[in-house]
Amino acid sequence: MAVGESQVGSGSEPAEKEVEARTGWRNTLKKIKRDTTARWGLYVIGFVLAVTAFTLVDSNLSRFTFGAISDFALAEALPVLEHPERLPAPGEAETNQPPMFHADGSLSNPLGTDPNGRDYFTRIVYGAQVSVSVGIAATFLGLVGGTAVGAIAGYYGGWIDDMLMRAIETVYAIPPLILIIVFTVFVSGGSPDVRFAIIGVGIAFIPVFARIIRSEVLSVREMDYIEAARAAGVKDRNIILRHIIPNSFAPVLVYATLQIGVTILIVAGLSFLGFGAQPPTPDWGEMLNTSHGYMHSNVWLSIWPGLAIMITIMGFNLFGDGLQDALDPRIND
Amino acid sequence: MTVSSPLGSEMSGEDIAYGDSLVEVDGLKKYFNQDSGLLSGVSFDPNQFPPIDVGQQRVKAVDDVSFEIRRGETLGLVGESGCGKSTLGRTILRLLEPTDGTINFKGDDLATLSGEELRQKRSEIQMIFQDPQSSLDPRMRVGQIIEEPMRAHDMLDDEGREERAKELLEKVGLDPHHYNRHPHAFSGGQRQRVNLARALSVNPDFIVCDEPVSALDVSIQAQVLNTMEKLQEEFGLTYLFIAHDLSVIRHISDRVAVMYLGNIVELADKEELFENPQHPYTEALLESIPVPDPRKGEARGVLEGEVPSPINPPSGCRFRTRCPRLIAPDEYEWTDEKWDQTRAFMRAVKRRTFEPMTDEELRVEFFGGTLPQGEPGEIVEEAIDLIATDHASDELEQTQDEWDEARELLLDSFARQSICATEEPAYEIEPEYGTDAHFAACHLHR
Amino acid sequence: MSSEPLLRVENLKTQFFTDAGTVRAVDGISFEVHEGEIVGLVGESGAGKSVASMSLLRLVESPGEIVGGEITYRGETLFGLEEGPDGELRERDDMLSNEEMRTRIRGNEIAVIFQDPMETLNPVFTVGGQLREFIELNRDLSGKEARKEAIEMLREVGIPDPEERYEEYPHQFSGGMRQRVLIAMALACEPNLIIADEPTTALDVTVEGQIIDLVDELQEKYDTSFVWVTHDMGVVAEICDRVNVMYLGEIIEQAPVDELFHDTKHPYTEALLNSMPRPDRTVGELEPIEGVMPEAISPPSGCRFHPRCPDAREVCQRVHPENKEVARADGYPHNAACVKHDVFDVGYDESVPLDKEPQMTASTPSAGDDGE
Repeated sequence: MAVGESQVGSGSEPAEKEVEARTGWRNTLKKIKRDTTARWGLYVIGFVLAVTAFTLVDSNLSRFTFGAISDFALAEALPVLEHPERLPAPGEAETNQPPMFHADGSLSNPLGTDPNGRDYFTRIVYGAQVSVSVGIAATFLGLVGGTAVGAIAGYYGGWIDDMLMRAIETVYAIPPLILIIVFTVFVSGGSPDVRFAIIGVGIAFIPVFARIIRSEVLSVREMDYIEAARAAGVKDRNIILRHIIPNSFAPVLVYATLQIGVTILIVAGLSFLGFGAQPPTPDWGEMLNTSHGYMHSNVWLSIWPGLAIMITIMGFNLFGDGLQDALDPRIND
Repeated sequence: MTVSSPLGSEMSGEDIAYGDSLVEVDGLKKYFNQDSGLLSGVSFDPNQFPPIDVGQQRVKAVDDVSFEIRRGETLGLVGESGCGKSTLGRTILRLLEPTDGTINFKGDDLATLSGEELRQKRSEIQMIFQDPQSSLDPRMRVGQIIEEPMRAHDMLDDEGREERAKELLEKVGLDPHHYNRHPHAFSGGQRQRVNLARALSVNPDFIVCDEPVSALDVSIQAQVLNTMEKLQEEFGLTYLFIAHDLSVIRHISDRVAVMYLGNIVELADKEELFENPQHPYTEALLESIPVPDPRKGEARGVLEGEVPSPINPPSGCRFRTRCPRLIAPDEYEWTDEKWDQTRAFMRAVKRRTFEPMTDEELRVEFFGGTLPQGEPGEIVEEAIDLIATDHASDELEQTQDEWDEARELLLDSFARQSICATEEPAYEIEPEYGTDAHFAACHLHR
Repeated sequence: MSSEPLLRVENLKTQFFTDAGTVRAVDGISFEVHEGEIVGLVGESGAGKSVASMSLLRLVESPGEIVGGEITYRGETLFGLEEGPDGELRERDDMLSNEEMRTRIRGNEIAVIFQDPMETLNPVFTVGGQLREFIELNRDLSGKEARKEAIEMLREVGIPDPEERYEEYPHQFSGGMRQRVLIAMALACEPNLIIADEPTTALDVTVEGQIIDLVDELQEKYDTSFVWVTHDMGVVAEICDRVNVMYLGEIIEQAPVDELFHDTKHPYTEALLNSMPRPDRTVGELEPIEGVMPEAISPPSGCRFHPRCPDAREVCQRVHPENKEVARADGYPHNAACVKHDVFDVGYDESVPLDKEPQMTASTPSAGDDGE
């Protein structure tokens, strides 16, 4: 080929390696693996997710895992079972056992039991299911909604942008708690449910995600390859899906990871206030709520769910920080 | 659309003979609104009633431009930054909505085509961008990038597209094995080749090239330019080649259009334009380019001042505010020398390039001691009166006002009376080189 | 050659220490700048010309470091190394301290003009204010005097209506006007040497012409010397008295400007000139230089240009040519680093021409074959 004459291989292997290490998700993963902080975050998240997965796969799995637990305690601990008759009378907290390292503790209930005599360890493990999945679901809702709104507003600009962003600002002005109360009251007819917490928190997050992605889209939109795609006759929908979103997604992804921790906290707070998961479903927030009445008799009841929340959030935050560094093109090797 | 593989050089525009007009732009305008948003354009002006103004200031980036591009030729479009050449290129492709005018491409008016029709038309007109860095999506592979236009126009099946993409890679001088690479693994010159391959993938007739080599080093520039020429010949392409570099334009173009402040000021055959420029702006441009030959020398900044704002461009000829050959107003009698002096004095006052001096000093400095005869002389005297230090009061404020007054007086009496300010120029000149029409927007040819 | 040069650079080496290896950005260059002359430092991107110019003022930033050579300015050592008692290289005692460099040399004796004036001027302060502050700091003038001086300087560099524009912010200036402000700033302390790093590259051609005019005028008036860094052979021809052509960290040709263009001694310079489209005449076919400049991290053996050189012979792979005097012109040497000249006497004539590698791109698996 005649054009080929202008090309001479000139042994620039190092350049290639250097260049290779600059973009792409694969490279991001590589960087995360090298980052100790992010790696620990990843371990924690992996652990929490694994625990959640266990409880989803088989609600009786703990039978095999914790053979030492008495059948009774296990049955008591399972979320689906309700034992109102075993609720202790106020002031009488005899049925709750302290953790195993306590003088009165026993190996069969490693973290003790709650005032109903349900194994606390099992409840913490099952609590992850609600807390983590609600946290992720609500964040995901916000992420998807926000990305759609932000990408459309940013790409089209003009009056579409104006309308969407004004609407978003209106939502932004409403506190999530009010949104959830409104849902609870008008949609479910007054009975609180964890689903409304998810939707409420999710909607409340849309504006933040939308703003982040919009600002990113505004700069990506100016790139020549967007214009090139338009000049080539690519449909708007495909430009948004193939070019705009993949190239403006990194910052929201980081934000979402950090946000999952916050969401777990918010949902726990809502449960604590009685708007989230309802007893007897175990949820860390709900458990904090129930246990705060026993602060004096058994402080461990508050410590365990608090610790669980803290560790999970820490995991997401560490990972989020690492992801941010890994996605930052300025931080390179 | 039917495209037989492999790379057919068969044209979908074969109904137009080489040398006949492929693209005809007529009266094209592109105005930009200054700002956008719900309340944009609403401004507060306390000096009028009601004190709210909803009129928008509009940037006249491209203002009433007409020309044609012939099939198989390269039309060079040259101008300095901000002259509107890129905007013009994008408006022709309808990447920007034209404010007014028509763009006739093979019988269709691109300016009025609606969404889907226009989208389908895009397979016949393509674009190559300046920045090899940002014109390729960093997250895509080179193969995907080249196939994207084909996919958008439902050309071929997956395998056919891959085959064609690989052939194109080879055509533009890249290794087909690079099909699966990301753009960042390529150098600037190679990325520009990928750009070329992408544009060629849908077998277009017409390609707008927006500064395709200005981001490249000299030696790489030559490689890419040669490839572009070769491809043009092989595929029968028509280029609109936008650049600020006159050397590149001279090398690649058949005809050249020179743009200044949203207007085309001169358009002629390449040889004619470079050897026999007829617009003072073109002359100034040509004189300013540093020639890579120390014996040629003296390429110098012959232009004074700066490009005026495209929001309120000068009336008549847009170049008149900087033109070294502004025509003397007809109503006075001038000798050439006196008009030159007056013009220099007028511009110096306008731009305040000299320090205040006395009446006598001014006369000597600008007029060699003798003012022009008759009425113009009286006007000049009045202006000197206003700004001379021995006439003006000492207070700074007042001096400022007097300067403004002197400036307005001179501009009103001379610059704005000139035919350059009152009429828009458009003349056709007998060419010295070749036979093509030579268009020059300058009243010197009246 | 006239008396003692203003600036003498000998065997300067600047390297960047990266994870991928040591980048020898500047690899042993020597040149001189005499009183009142404009010396060009020209090359394509990646040639090391900017690093070289920044090394002169010891402004190389980490991971870069000047690792060898000597820079002498009017008898003072801006940079110099000697071997210590333990055999390690250490800085010489007479080398100026960082403090001295900052207070005495930079700005006062040697000033810099950068390519992008927007990055040099602070956007939140007025242009006049910044110029005034600079003058106040460096010339020991009172605020009022400095202001007067600043306005004078603005007028001097051709900024219309300087009293008014003194109060304006950088973004209200056009690119050309901002470059004029930087020139004013560089001239403010009447330095003897100005390093201009691609000062006209970002400008339009007519504005570039204006700036070159201005520099010419000012240079005549103040007799300032310039080191003019550029990639544009046109600008070189226009403004420089003597030229150093750089390729891959080395100066490969050194000559007075007329000799460089009309009696070219190095094949790279020759090829560069042939690959350029010309504004003054129509060139039929451009002759591009084949391939790309290799990375400075792993330069080719022998002559660094040999893989792309049309005149390359077997000996070029083995022998690394020093920059040697191959001719004389106007009392200045014309140096070239190419073994085809007789002074090298390494058997070029007998050597067999290199078989060009097949230049099909299909055979080049490596990336970056034709780029920066």
